[in-house]
Amino acid sequence: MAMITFERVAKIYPKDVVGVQEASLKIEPGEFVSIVGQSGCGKTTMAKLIIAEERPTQGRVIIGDWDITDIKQRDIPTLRRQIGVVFQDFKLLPRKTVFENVAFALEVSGASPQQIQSTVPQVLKIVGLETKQDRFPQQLSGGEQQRVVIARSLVHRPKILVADEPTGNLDSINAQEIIDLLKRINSFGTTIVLVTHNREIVNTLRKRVITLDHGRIIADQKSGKYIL
Amino acid sequence: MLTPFPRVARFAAKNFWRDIWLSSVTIIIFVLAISLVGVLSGVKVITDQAITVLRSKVDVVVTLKPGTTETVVLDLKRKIGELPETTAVEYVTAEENLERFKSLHLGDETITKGTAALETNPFGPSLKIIARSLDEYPKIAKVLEDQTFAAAIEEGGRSLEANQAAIQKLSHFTRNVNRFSLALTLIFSLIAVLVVVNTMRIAIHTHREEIGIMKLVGASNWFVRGPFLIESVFIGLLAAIIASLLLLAGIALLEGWFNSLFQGYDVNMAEYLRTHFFGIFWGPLLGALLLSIVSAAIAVGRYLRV
Ligand SMILES: Nc1ncnc2c1ncn2[C@@H]1O[C@H](COP(=O)(O)OP(=O)(O)O)[C@@H](O)[C@H]1O
Ligand SMILES: [Mg+2]
Repeated sequence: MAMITFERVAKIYPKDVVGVQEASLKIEPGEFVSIVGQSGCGKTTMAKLIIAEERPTQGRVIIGDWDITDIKQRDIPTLRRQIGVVFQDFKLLPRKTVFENVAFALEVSGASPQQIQSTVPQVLKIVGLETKQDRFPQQLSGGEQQRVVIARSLVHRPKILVADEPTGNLDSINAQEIIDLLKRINSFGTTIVLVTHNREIVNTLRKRVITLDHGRIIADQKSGKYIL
Repeated sequence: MLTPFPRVARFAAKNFWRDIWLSSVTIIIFVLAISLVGVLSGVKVITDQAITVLRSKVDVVVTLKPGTTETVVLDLKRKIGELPETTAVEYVTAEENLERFKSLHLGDETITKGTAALETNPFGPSLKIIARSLDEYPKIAKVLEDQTFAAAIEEGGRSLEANQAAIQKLSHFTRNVNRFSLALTLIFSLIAVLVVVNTMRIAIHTHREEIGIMKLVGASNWFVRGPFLIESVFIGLLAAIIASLLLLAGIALLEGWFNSLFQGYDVNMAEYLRTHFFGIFWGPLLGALLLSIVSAAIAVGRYLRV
């Protein structure tokens, strides 16, 4: 069974603005998939459809065996706990420490204090920030901040991690560190969907690449290169 | 996963403190609304009480013509006293009436001289009738209109009208207070709703990043919305408590005035207001709490699409 299935999905925004259209794909468990394309081609829309932040105008979106096309409001939290999310505009809370920022994700989903005390150090260890848990976000580098965001997305041990331009504001060394971290998380079995327009990263990854243009999938390569 | 109430309450408390100025303004508006509507409820209770007191203690003074024989007076006294509507009848003789008049005008030389020169008593005897209530008066009046006595009664010798006018004035006042209260309650309810909706809108806006994160990490809807609803309960409760204290302080402050208002009557208004506090003021107190929660729910529904 595929982890993520799109069946002829279209997302048309108001005023007939095309987000994506005629998008069909299957992503298997444990895959590492990059979605690439120029700005405005529909990459973020694709990511939002996976986490039910947007609903398709046509077609179906299925996560595992769960058809989330018409997901009910009250079921969204359950979905979100199965999908880790790293978004550009999805920052850290500046007045909370690293530990508190990660703990926050557990707190608001009702985890017990014991669960929080045991889970937070584990995920901080995965991203290599266990020694900096008491710092505030502005006391960290951009790359470190992004690693905290990734740590936070891991607290529910998601089956899928969707990362939208996680290296967007980083220099190439920091960016490579983030990609290495995603590869490590992938090696534990988590399916990774990486949205990026960084040619260098895509070309060195040697993983599956889906290329979008004007909302359409124009290429889907098993071990792809950045073709645009 | 369960969503523990204390944690949601803690988030609510944090929101409350972070927007303390906004919360304070909201509370002040609510306190004002509760107090004003409360004062009007209080005024209504006081006037109602005054009317009851006036009605239950009607003195009808029937003045009889000078020279009315004692037999007639005693006969009338007996007849009225026999009525079940009468609580008491007091016979005041002509001499007593003259003495009372004299003592009332002790300082006035012309009157003192005039009364001293009198050969006959210009006063007649009178009867002071205490009826059970004003509503019983017509039955008493019937006896007074009886042929045997009507002739003996002084023209305009029934001093009931004054009381009745007072009662009518008070009733009129209560009706106006009621109407005014209704209008004021409606206006203040509207203001309170707008203020809370706006407070919550701003609070939601201030916390939009946090809310966005909550939603994306799979916070249950109760965790996203709960803090705002509980914050509104805080606001409503705090406002109700402050307004109650203000009203109690007001009652204490006016205790002296109440005592003079109900002087001679067996009414302790301040004590009555205190012991019946929630019976009298439950409307504005509970109303504020409900309005606060309802408006928060409106704001959350409008501005916090989960
Ligand atoms: N919320 C929205 N409302 C209207 N149009 C949108 C919205 N989000 C994205 N779009 C439009 O949809 C198209 C695809 O956007 P997006 O998925 O963000 O592209 P990308 O992430 O590849 O830059 C763009 O033309 C964009 O303007
Ligand atoms: Mg984008």
